[in-house]
Amino acid sequence: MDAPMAADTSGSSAMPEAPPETVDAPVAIEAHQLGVKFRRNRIRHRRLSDLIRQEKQGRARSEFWALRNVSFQITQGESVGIIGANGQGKSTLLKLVAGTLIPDEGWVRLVGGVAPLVNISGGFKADLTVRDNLHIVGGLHGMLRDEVEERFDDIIDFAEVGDFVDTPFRHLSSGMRTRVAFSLITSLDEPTVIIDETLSVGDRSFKRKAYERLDTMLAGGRTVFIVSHSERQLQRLCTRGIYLRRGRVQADGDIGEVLQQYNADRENEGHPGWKGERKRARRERRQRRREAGRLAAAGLLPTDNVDFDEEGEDLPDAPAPRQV
Amino acid sequence: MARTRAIWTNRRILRILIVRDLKVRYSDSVLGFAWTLLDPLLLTLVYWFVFGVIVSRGSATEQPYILWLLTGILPFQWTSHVLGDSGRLLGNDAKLVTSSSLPREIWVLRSVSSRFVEFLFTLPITAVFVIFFLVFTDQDPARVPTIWILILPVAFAVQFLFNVGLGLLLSPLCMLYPDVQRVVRVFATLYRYLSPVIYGVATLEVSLKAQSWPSWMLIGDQTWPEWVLTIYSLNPLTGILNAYHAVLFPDEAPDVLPLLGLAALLSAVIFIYGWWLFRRLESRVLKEL
Repeated sequence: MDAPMAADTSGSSAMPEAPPETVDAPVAIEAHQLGVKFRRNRIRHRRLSDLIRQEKQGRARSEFWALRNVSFQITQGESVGIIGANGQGKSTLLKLVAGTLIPDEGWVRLVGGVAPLVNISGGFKADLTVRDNLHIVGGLHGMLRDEVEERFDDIIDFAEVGDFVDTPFRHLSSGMRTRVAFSLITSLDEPTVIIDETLSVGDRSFKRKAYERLDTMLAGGRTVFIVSHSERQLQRLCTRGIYLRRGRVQADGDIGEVLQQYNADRENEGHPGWKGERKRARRERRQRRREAGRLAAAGLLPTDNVDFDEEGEDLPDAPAPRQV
Repeated sequence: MARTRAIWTNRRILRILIVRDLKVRYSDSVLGFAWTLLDPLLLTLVYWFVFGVIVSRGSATEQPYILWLLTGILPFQWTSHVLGDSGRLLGNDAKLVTSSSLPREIWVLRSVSSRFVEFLFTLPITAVFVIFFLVFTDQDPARVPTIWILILPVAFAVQFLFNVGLGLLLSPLCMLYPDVQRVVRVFATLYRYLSPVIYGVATLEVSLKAQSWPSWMLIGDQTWPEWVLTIYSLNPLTGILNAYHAVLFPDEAPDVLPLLGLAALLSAVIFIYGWWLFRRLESRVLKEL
């Protein structure tokens, strides 16, 4: 897993043109001239005739670069947020760093393993018990049997599924499943943590716990690589931001400044930007709450099930800024 | 090669995956592990009923026919299952594949290995039948394992290589082109009859000789189309299954070593080509997941 994941090994001999900014701090993630191209026509499957026919013709116009010339260097202990609108290459970059996608150009190198908080319940099998699943998925992510054994109780406690250890995974509620998966992946000792924005970890109280746990992990000097749409989340967790636009690095620097530039760009392009979106979201939430209140009054909906916390307003206070 | 080393360092994970496969396969059925034995056993009984009883396959030398079938069907099922797996190896388990950065070859090795373990579990069926015929019938010649039993590890190794080659070759193709998956499914059925499962290489030769052939099918002054047999032996499973048959039926399995050697060579070619293609298509497969 710690072998460099280079599709183009011939390029790996060339060093990045820009000298590393921090020479003394050890590198955790290094990307050099990364590029990935996708087909524009999103036909998932091709016909057999395509296999036989030469695909050379028309290749140029049917393909586009989702990412190109993306280079950066992340030192150990840094926490970096990837910013960008939808479809600008954020998730693609995340996959490249996690090693689940192979670049068409350039290379990305990771020092040490990765705890991927991406698609966290991917390895879990519905038919097996929670215990079996923890052993197997833990193993898949490089945990030794003894390590799983050792952390087993902690993982179960944190996920709050003490009574379901020997229950098949499919009998757990979806919230429980995510909690188990989150609890396991965050128990990994890997020096780098990759977090996807789509990470939703259940109800409000667990969300709080989850963020506290991420804070502890960050405080422990891990490298964090996070893709998110939530300005709040990014400012809380990150010190550095990389702004992707049309598959290229538009800005790379202090998180506050990069967010500012991103918002300015969004407004210039006619999008309301985060401020406007938040205003709209708040308005919608108010409206929905009123509606739900009416329904509850009519005895149609139990009020305690209504959770409108979408922006994570109940998050614990941000920890003191770390010394990187 | 760096790739080989990466796979080797992940062998512990491979073992975990195999155990997972076996657990999953039997976790949700009442009979559980018994299905490993029942599946091929029922299949064998069906074949025995059709070809042994109804058609009453002539060759008196392949008796007891049920033992002949077992020595062919059990190993054939290994390859057949791998063919079936290759269609969904990367597609259906996409969540698993994309949740880790393991070398993707692991997913093929996982299928071949867990199917191999299953195959090993079914071998006692043959042993039980051998003992049964030995004790309860006065079969002549008695079907006891011959010296050819020593060839089994080699046959396992060659078939493993062949199966891994097939998996590497077909799993990315099935993922990218669903048509291939359909072709594979049809071919898997056909393959059972094109390999020495229900009949032996010796029987095929006898049958070919017994027919009268139009002259255009013959090369030179041959009296029977020997080229059919040549093409037939270019199927790696011919040499492999022939070796399995030789253990109990040494007289019905000719040229064990040359045929197995040829199978090994062809398997190696398929394996190398399969791996090359797999590496070439890997990037595209990952984009589709």
